[in-house]
Amino acid sequence: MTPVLEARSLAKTYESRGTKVSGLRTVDLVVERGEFVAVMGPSGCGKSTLLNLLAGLDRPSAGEVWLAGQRIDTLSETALARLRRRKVGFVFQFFNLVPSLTAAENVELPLLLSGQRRRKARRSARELLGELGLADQHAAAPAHLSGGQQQRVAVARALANRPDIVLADEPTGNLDSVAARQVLGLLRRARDQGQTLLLVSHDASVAAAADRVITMRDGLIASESQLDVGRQVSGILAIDEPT
Amino acid sequence: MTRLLFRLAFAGMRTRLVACVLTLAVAGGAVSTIVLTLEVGASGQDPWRQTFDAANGAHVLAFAPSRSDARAVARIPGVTEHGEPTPVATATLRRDSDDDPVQLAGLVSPTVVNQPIVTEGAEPGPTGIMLERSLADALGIDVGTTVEIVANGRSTDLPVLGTAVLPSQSRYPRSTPGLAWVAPAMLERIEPDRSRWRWIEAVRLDDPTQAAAFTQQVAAERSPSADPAEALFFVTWQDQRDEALREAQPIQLILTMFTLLLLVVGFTVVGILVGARVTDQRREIAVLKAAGLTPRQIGVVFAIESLALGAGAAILGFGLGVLLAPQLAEPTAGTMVVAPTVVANPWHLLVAAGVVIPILSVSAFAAARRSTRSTRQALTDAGAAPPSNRLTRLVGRSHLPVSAEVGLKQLLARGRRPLLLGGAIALTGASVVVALSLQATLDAQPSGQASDIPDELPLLVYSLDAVLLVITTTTVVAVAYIMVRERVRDFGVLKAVGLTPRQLTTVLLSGYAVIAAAASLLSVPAGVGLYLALAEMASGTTEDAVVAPWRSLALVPVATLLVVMAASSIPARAAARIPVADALRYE
Amino acid sequence: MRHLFLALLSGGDAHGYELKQALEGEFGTLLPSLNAGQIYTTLARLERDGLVVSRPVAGDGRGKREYQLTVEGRAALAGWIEKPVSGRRLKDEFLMKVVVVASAGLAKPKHLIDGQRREYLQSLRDLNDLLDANGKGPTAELLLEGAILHLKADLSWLDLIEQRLELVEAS
Repeated sequence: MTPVLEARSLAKTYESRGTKVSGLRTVDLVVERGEFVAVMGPSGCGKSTLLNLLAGLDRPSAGEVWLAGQRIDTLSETALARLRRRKVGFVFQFFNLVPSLTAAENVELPLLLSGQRRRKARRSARELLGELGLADQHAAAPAHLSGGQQQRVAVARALANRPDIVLADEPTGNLDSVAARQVLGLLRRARDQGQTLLLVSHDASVAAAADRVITMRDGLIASESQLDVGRQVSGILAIDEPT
Repeated sequence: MTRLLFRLAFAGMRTRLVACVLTLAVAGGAVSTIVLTLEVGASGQDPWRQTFDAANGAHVLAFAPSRSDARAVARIPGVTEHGEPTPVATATLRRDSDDDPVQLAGLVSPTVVNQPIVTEGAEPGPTGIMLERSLADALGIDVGTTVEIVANGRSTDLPVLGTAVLPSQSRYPRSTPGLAWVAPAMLERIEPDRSRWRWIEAVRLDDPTQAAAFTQQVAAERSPSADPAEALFFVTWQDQRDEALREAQPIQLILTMFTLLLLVVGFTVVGILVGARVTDQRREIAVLKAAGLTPRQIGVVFAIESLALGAGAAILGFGLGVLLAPQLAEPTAGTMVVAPTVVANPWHLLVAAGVVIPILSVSAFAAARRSTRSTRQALTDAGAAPPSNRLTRLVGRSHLPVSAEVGLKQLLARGRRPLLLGGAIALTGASVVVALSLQATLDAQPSGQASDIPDELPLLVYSLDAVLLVITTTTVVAVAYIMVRERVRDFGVLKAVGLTPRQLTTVLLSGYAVIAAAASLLSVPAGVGLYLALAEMASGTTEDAVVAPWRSLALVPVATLLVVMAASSIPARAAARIPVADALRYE
Repeated sequence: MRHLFLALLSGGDAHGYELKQALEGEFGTLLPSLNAGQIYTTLARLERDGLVVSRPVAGDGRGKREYQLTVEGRAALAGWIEKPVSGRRLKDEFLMKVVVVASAGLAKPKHLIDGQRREYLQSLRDLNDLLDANGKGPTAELLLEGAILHLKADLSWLDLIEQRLELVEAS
């Protein structure tokens, strides 16, 4: 089966005041359908650059990006936009929602863009928001929602079209720990329903929510760890031996 | 503290070139129209003086029913100089089928006071005729041709031997009938009935300032007569001057209207720009507030900036107005020996600056105060307006493409700014309608019949329209850029969600399309109303005013829409091209 | 554990089994299961040091004893309450393992580090799962979050070790 997402010798150099800064140096990555992959690393390690390239939000300096069996780094802006609206969902750290649209309208947006009927889109958006515990907030303006609620709406929007892959860039970066856990829980649930996810975070405990954690450093993949699901823990407290 | 405020104000100025240039343009435009209004009137003063001196102008002209009555005036104490009374009779100047009334004056040689100054050709001699220059110009009669003069049912053909000007005769056709000179013997031949003659005695006084008192004295000494035909009638040198300078009146009226338009547009534009800047710099302002600046002081920072811009604009506009005024006063030159001159009265600068600068500063101060007063406001300005009202719901129910719907909602979330922008667009459209109607009124005049409106007027109006158009278009572009800058991150999100560059352009343009459509539709009735009000003010009646034909009126909204679309499509395209990755990082 | 027992006894006399139940009630499964031997050894030592006294429970055939705080015991408890807990010192086997194994050429440090990172991440994940599971008391949650923070620090330290080793190799 073709992988959902594949990066082949991907590289990106930025030009900053005449000097070249390499954001990404030769990265190879394969994400299979149904996988939940996290990319972790300190800021500036190239993880956001990688995500942007994989999503076609930025153009690579070298290498190829394949999304659902199609090479996308050579596509036009318009073709990329069309591809994104059907195949990619996004969750960002900040300013995820279009402020002049209500929560429900934000969720409807990708549905309408991919050609769904307005009425049907509206119904699906309501349903999705209800599933994420936001049934009462569907008509609210983003500005009137808490950060956690906004981010949950953003997750709903990313999932609305059942895209091939959902990309999340520091989705919990701006949230308190309770809200962060809620958002991560939503992502995990999506994965359990067969959704492919790629998450980028500098926070190890967020990255550890994934099945596979990729650590990046200096624009390169430093290591990969496959994690097990459902390992039981007991006794994290250690008690001194009696003396 | 004050120094700090000043430095903040000027630091802002350097980084906002477009906004500053716009403010400068609109304020400069307003100043120059004010200065023009004042200077146009003044620029004819000196030429008239020169004409008066060259003609040995009359301090008092007395119109008398008989030669003896005229002579009596010359004998009154205070008169230092006088000539023989001049006989005048009314006749008709016939060209093809058109008749124009004309005053024929018997040219008594040598005329001592109020001598016609020959500008072309020669005096009429025993067999010819000499026309007042503006009459000749208006009717298109050249020296060397022959004219037909009709009086008492008899027609006489006379060769035009020359043209002349006279300080007491203002421009034809504003002053009708026109004036022409023939030899007294010829006058006798054309109008043998002497009872139809009137006599003019032109006198100079030892104290010209007493001209009005002199006329009263003469009138008092003469026994009141029951027959109005027997009455004496006087024109002082001040009357002559005022009449000559009244030429600038329609121009002044138009200029005043445009001054008002420019001030309103300027107030709006400055309000928009300052409001946008406050939004743009809200972080900086928050820091300033945290550092202890009150909202009032922040308002002062912006007011100082506008003050400086206003001062610059005043000087620029003054220069422009002073230089343009003589050109606009050109029609007055038809009756004078020299062209209008540059006056550059510093009082005019003060008056203009005194009007424009406070308006600018108040607009800036108010906009800054409004935008900084509450943090809630900052939140909404940051793009988080609650999008719940009847209009938004209406948009939601409409069957527009998604991108247009998003664009309209973004626009509605803004409230004030589109309203202001729409106002500016509507005013500009209205001013174009005024210009078109003015042109139509001129075109509606029968050919050859000179109108009350100087030919230069439509040109002036078109130029002022162009100024307004440039200002409004630039504002549209600037506001579109501001909007793009404010919404870069939103565009990033929209793009990530899957809007194509074309759809993003639609998002931006649809908002402007609606503003422009509403504003341009409004501009037609507004313009017609404005024009009729103007005509009423100018001639006391709207009877002669012709509104531009509906076909050209219909073009105004279409053209407005196209211009606005074209202007805002540049920033819209730029926005659509911003890479998403950069847009999302944008601060 | 000695001081924990003293603290528990300050609320009233109790026998060993009651103390075990009280601890388990507070910390649940987070505590490795306590065996009776550990508890009675600890109590015996407390009695030996004169901090508690015990007496047999009346009418209990199995020799169950009830413990009571002495004046010295209260003093020792008060001292413990007053004294801050000293900061955790590193007791890390991993660094020594890397250093020794690498210098002996038994394995590549990178291999060890990758394995260790996976272990830490796995632990993080397990703890997160535990945290997500419902029915945790606030104490347990705090303990879990503390453990997560420590693990994150361990991961960062791992990165640091890796970078330093690369630097050493490069030079």
